[in-house]
Amino acid sequence: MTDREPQKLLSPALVPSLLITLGGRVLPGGSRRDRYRQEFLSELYGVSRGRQTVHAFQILASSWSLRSATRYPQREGNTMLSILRSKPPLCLLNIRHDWQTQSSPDGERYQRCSKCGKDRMDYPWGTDPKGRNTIGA
Amino acid sequence: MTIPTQFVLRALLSNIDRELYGVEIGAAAGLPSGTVHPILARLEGLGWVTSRWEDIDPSVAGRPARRYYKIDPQGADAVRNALATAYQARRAPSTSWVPQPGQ
Repeated sequence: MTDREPQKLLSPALVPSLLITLGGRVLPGGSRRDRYRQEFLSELYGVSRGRQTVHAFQILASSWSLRSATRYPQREGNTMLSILRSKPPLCLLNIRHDWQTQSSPDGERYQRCSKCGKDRMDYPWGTDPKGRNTIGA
Repeated sequence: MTIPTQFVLRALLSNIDRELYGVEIGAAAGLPSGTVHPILARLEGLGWVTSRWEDIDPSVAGRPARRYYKIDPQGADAVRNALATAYQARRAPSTSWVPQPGQ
């Protein structure tokens, strides 16, 4: 073996490659489809087989969102899939938040979930620390 | 602007002199790697982000060229303004439900 021989990275396995190709079918044809297919395949190099499969599934799941983004870039990608991925499940279902007290530049205190960014609506107005309604009290 | 879009823009702004490819952007933004490409495509369509193929010889590197992204220098101010506007919108707590005098 010589020093100039290229170092071979782990190439994409068959299943991830097929998933990438399948996801690419959704995209508009022509150079754009080729570009993304080449881009996604290049990202599979050098990562483990398991990670390749996970990545390829994520690419496949986002392919409709990518199609929409390439055709209508002005539209915000607020698809159900992106919403589901955007927040932790407990935050998404509004079951539990990680409220952190913060202060605005004008000194007003408020609470915000450190995980999803939601502002607490009943703080500090409307309820006392025990959760009782104090409006009009 | 969605929160994932803000995360992607922040990841790119924090490395404004460095180009990143999709997996790196996903890692920097804390998002699943597949999620970032639709966001990047949208930002590229808006002219806020530019991309280019990596300039390598695949036979030497042992892999194909990656697609690298960075904030467009012309659009950096627009990106910062958009992020500031989104931050202000999230920061200001809504009081629309509070009964107003006379209601």
